[in-house]
Amino acid sequence: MPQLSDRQLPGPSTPRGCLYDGPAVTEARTAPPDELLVSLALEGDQAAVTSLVTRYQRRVTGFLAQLVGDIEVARDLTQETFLRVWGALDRFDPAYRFSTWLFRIAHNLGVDHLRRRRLATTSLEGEDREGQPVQVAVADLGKDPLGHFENVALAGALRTAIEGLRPEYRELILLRHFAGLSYQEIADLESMPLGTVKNKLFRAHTVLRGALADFL
Amino acid sequence: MQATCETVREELVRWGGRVEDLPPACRPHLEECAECREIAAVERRLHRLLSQAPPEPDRELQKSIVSSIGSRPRRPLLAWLPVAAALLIGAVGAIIVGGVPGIGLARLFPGWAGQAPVAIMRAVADWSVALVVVAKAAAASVPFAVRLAAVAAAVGGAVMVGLFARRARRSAGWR
Repeated sequence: MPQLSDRQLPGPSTPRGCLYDGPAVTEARTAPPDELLVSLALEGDQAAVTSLVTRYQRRVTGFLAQLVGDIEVARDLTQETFLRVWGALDRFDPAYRFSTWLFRIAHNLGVDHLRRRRLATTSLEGEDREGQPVQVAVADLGKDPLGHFENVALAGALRTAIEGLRPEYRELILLRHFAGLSYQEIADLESMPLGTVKNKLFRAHTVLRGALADFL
Repeated sequence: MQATCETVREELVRWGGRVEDLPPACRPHLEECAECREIAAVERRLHRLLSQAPPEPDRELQKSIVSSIGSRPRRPLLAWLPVAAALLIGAVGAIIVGGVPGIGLARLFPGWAGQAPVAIMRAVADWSVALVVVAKAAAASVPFAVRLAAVAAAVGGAVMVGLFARRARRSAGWR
């Protein structure tokens, strides 16, 4: 059976403006497209499986970490995402993009986790001695998805800015900048016209530019 | 026609503030509009900042995922659980009623193919009679609490099958 390493392969169509421009783009130009890796993986090619995992792990973990707000949970969910993908790989329709399918599964797992967590946790809202409502902030910096930033103030501002976005904008920012999806991929995933994606991301960026003005 | 500020800024957001990647129609506007040029510069910085936000690739996690995938069959046995449960329930039902009523239907084909609808109706009637008899027998001989538990188990099973199906569709059946 021909293996991944035996083949001369065309590169994937990498969208301009992709999040990981730079060395990753050079690599992407010579790398096989996802659809070919999927078909090789289905034939039992271990190298193709490894390539898919290597290509997407960072993006899936980054996306989930922002979605659930906990890097450790995001790692577990990343593992679960790839296992689900593997379990259903023979049902993948090559007419669609692998990335949108993968991130749909990751998104569903993240949302399910948030729903379970909401059910399992009690509210930390309460009242102070004078009867005024207060919220107790619990920060676990070890699990902070932006914990790798050296500039703690910048990480805090970025976290606050993203959390402060309207949910529909936040979702698109996560898909664009953490999942690294192109505008077209986001439009496919969200079942939205491309123009709407463009407009919403423009508005989201306008909000982010304002919120992060001191750091830009 | 020259692009407007909003069009140019949408494109600047799309291409991370990189002027060289903008559609040609946007460039003349940018040369004339200082505010859009300023936004291009800020967008470049914002893009750089956001590109640092995802964590670095996690080699340990990648290895762990690949080895988990390697040790797991592509279709987990669990996925077949609802099917197996349905078959089991069907088999138990057939045993309870003492075989499969209407099995003689097979003898009618292909010679009496025109009688098939009648034969199917008779088979359905056979099943209905069998189910009524079993229900009456159960009502006469099985204590009420056991019957109640059986009904609860049946409803619970149906709900579980539904949940399984919903979960499978949410996680894997997309496109």
